[in-house]
Amino acid sequence: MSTTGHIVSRFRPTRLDGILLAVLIVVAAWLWYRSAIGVAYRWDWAQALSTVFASGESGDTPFFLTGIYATLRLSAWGAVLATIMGVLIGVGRYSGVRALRVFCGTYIQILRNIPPLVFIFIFYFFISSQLMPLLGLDALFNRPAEDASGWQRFLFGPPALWENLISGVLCISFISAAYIAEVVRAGLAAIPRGQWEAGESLGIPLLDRYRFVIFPQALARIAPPLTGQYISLVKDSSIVSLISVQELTFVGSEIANSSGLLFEVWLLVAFVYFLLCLSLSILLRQVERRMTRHFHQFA
Amino acid sequence: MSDETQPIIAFENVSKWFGTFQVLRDIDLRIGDGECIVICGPSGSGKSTLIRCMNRLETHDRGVVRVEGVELGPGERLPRELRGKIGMVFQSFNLFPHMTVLRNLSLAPMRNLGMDKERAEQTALAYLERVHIGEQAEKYPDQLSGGQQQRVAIARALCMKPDILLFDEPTSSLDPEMIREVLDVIYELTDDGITMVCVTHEMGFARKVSDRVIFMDHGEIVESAAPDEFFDAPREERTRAFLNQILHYEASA
Amino acid sequence: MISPLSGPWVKRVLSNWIQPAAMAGILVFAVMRGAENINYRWQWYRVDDFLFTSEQGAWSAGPLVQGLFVTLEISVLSLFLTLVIGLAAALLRLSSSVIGRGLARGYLELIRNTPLLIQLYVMYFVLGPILGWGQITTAIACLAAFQGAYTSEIFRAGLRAIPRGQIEAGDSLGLSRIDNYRYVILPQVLRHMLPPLTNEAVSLVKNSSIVSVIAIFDLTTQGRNLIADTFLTFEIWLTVAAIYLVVTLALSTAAAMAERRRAGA
Ligand SMILES: Nc1ncnc2c1ncn2[C@@H]1O[C@H](COP(=O)(O)OP(=O)(O)O)[C@@H](O)[C@H]1O
Ligand SMILES: [Mg+2]
Repeated sequence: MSTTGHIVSRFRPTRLDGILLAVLIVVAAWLWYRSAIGVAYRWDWAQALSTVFASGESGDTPFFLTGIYATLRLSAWGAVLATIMGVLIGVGRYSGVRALRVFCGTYIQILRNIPPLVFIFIFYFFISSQLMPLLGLDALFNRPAEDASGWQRFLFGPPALWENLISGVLCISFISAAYIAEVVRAGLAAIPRGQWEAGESLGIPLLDRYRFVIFPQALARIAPPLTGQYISLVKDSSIVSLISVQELTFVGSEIANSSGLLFEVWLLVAFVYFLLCLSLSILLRQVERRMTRHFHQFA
Repeated sequence: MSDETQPIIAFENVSKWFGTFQVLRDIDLRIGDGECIVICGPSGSGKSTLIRCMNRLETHDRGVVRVEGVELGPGERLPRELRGKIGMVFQSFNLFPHMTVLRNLSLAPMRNLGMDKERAEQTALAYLERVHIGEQAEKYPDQLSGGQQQRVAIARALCMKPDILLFDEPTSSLDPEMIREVLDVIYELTDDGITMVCVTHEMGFARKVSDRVIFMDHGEIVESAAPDEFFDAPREERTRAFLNQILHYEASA
Repeated sequence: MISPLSGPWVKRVLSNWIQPAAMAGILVFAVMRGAENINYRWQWYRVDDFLFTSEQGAWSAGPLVQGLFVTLEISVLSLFLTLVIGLAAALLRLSSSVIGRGLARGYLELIRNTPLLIQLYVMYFVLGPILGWGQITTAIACLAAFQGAYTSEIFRAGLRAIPRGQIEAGDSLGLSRIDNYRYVILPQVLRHMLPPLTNEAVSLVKNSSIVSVIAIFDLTTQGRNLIADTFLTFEIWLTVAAIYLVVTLALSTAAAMAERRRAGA
């Protein structure tokens, strides 16, 4: 978060400042002119805000807010699943079994090299048409809504959308897992060989070697890029709106289309994502600092 | 003398390759229980590889290795019952940087031998005393000098009560003034009757401590003799050349 | 020892391409067999028509290849714009102008903390109409604005890594300032930045698929349309994914080789 350190921070206007300021003013004026007169858009923020925060027919949570909650749930469960998968795949790159190593490497390579959009289209078709029926999950999700207890609703949202949520969670966690796996792999690769060998020659069992010797050291290196991946996960979650997962982007586009307040609603959605990601990054940085403080810092 | 009793380590016709490069050539070697061996030879001659084949950090490709009566074929790792029984001290210490000295020492006894924390720490403190560093138990490795770190590493290996202790150039990354303290600690261990194999170029140490000195070159054991004989009357031309180089270096240094 | 980065380059290609390809083949095969079990009828033979069509011996590009060209065109154009924006943002961040640094900083945070899809929607539904932009212009501007934020970090690192000693050496030899930059500094900086910049190109190709949501006939859109027409869902999506994979992996391999040459030089 440091600004360019070697430059004086005291405000001394330069010629560049003047030029930029002029450009800024011109651009802003031009944008205002075009929107107000060019395309004659009538901004109506009051209307937009009241539409967005209006409760549904029966006085339940406003639609827009359900979208925000869904994005939060999607991101939280996605992060949990992606972390588990990512760690397993990242560690799998170091497996003694060659086939497993190649499999994990291939997973990372492929998922990181095809567009997320293409992946979710393939994967959504695969899970909705094959996986769900195969595992009998659709039966599970088609239960009567009254069965859901309060905490289940809190954790997973309304039962009618559980299947919807699961699809979204699976999609984003499969993608995010590849990136997390790469972070984990790089973190493990940075641990000197001697650490493994010392653990082995002392006869510390393999799992304990990971748990006590390798992971704590890897964690200090993994934590910063990992927080970046979590932010990316929140952002990437917006694309599952394209497979009709009812999260913020999906809800935003519904409201924008039905109200016709395109400008206001899309700017509002962007603003909400901005707030989400920014506060998440501040929060995670805090957590990261607290977590790594307990590990002794070494040169 | 080692020929009469059952050797604790035996290499029979052992060869190893890295790709197409042969690191070990038909190694035959028998080390008796309680013996102290020093291995020397030019850099890249296969010394590290040889001793790493003893605790199976490396595996060989041809021949047979026998450790404590257990026969190990090509590619075989250390069987469970021997894990931790062959300690190793590395050139670069390899202490766990995120743990205190005490934790470095007590981890393996707790996880491998199932010792409870209290006993493991008692043992750890006892060995720290033995390497004259008892007061540093709560420090982290990077707060210690190189010589102290290496002594911690020795104590850490000892905590597993190993039958064999391997040293791979334990003083090579130390500043000159710290070499002595580490060598002294190793010397004191000879009283314990533990089998020791030490790769080192400290010739004074070799003469004083070892029962036998082995000279390696190009993956072969060129000469193996008692220290007096080895230094005063080396049989092989290559040994003489090597010793000349080292002594010449030491004289001019 | 597991070190995928050692060994001759033949071995690298082998482990980077052949093994994953074989593994992917096995996976696709498994999916195919699995799908057969639930009565999915594979019709791969129909796919080649979507790549190339031949009428009386004259070959022409099928929809997927046409889509690939659109994808590449958008990627290349936005890459140029990305470089301009990235360099400008980097220079502004390193500048002595407070407003310049603030602008660059605000731009970076804005881009980094909002989803690309939302940026596209805002550009398409809000900015595009205001400025009178068409779809293609919107798409290119959006991709470039997004990637430019990340690229500017590469430029910034590259610009800050200019070795002082090199500048001083050039100066003390009496080179003019321009010659110093042209012959001494820039070649070094560019060689440092080439591999990471190639990775930006990979990202662009990958991210460009998102413009399919504003009805641009790129590879992804062509795939979706074909599926709507033919219901060959798996065949077409797997083909589309494979095409993207070939393009992005080819670019990353080029980057890796450039890196090797730099390291070797
Ligand atoms: N993991 C490895 N892969 C390839 N070659 C190796 C590896 N380890 C060691 N070597 C090579 O084997 C030879 C012997 O190494 P080493 O046993 O470490 O020699 P020394 O310890 O006597 O210096 C050296 O030429 C070294 O380059
Ligand atoms: Mg060595």
